Amino acid sequence: MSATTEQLERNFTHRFLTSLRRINSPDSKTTTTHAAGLVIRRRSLRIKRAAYSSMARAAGSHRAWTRALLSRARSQRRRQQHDVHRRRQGREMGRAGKLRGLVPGGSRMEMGQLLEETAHYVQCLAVQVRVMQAVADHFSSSSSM
Amino acid sequence: MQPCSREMAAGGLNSPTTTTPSHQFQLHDLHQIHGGHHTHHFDPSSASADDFLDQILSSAASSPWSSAAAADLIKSPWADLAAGDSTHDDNNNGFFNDDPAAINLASKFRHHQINGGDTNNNHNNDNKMMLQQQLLMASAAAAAGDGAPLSLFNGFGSGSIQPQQHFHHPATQGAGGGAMQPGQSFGAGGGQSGAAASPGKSQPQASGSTGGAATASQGKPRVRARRGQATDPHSIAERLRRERIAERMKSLQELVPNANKTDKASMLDEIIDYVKFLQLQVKVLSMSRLGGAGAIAPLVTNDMSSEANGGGSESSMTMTEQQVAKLMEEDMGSAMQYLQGKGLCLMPISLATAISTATCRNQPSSPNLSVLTGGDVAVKDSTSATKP
Repeated sequence: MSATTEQLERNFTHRFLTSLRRINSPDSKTTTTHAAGLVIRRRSLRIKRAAYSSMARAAGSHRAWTRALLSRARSQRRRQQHDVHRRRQGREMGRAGKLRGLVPGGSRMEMGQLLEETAHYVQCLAVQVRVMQAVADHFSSSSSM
Repeated sequence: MQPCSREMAAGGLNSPTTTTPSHQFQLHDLHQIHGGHHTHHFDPSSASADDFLDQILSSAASSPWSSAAAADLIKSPWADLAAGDSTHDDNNNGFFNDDPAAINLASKFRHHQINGGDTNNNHNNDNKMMLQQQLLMASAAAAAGDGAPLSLFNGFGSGSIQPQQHFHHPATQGAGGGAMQPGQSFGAGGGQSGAAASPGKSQPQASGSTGGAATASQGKPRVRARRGQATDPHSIAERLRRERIAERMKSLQELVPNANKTDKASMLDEIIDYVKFLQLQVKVLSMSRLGGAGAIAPLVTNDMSSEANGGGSESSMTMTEQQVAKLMEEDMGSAMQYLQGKGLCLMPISLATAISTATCRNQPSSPNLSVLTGGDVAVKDSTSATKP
């Protein structure tokens, strides 16, 4: 594992566990009189958002996709629900369009930058999945039996 | 899935690199995360958090196949659901919009995960290769007086995308010079053979061979054009852009598994599928129990006390059943998660009776086996096989 990947992993794990602690601790959100199923769903959404935000912060703001992800999170948190799909690249058909939809901020990039950002995004996603899997294993093994 | 990961996590916890006091400290940290009533705010920058990090990371590093568990998680329940009930409402699922696509993604990348996912090693090699390429281009531009070695190297760069063109180049240049080895020139070896061939290439270039590939790197004013191609700035810029894209595609090829496609379109498809697969894994993992049992349990008792559900003197098993039934009406996933948190699972009555009789035959008492029978729950699911 290269040094930067390891550093990224540590940074992300740190932030993610901090957010997880905040989500798990009983606060006003979880004690509302909602159905249990809805609470679980909402909690998983919060965890997913926290994971992506933690990864974006850990990766640093010199990447276009991290900036796009964090600005999307900020606008969503303010309950604007403003879809940040301002298309700089007029809706491209086919595979490139699909890739733009997957990578945050992809609709503004041209092809070369898109591929570069995709490479970095894939790396960070792999780290994210690895860490989250380890955390889930840790919790599920230590609590059961 | 569960026993294996438990073993690995236990192995991580008992690793010789950690001392016992830090080990106990981490358990303390775990309890805090479990959402108990912690009196003091836990400082994340303290050393115990770092020890906790070490534990997580060591178990992460030492269990490369644990991510296969996530793939299993994706594959098995949804394969069962999709196969068993074709008219299953997606809203009840709540997980995926298209189940078959998710299953395809999972099965496609599963073997890669099981093999350890050495994406980091690939990235190292890719880094070195890209660095080599850049160094070569810079050195070639500085060394040679004309664009010939550059053209040779650029031919290799674009050769991976257009293999037909590439096969012509070794033929023409092999006739001209002698320092080329077409066998290793393709793909990753392009850097080294480019360096080896560049000193020997100045002579055929002097003889005016225009079999060289596309020209013009950054900072080179005079360009030697390919036969039958214009030298106007637009096409040069276009060529540059295409080469840049080809370079990026190659680096992506190293990251994405199953990337032996030479076709740009199928390579893009592979990349798209891989990104979708990773995002799917994040979604699934965010739904798993991440120490949040404390948040769910008080809510259960709240629900039971708030609505009059037929007496409070019921056994815990009936209460669980009713809770599960209620959860299943809203969201199947949350019901399964609730059961999983209790260490229970759902199975048809026939299987349950078979297991209980088999267990009762072997041992008189089996404390780990708690079977949910009776009530509406088992009756509803007696025909479908739904297992976590």
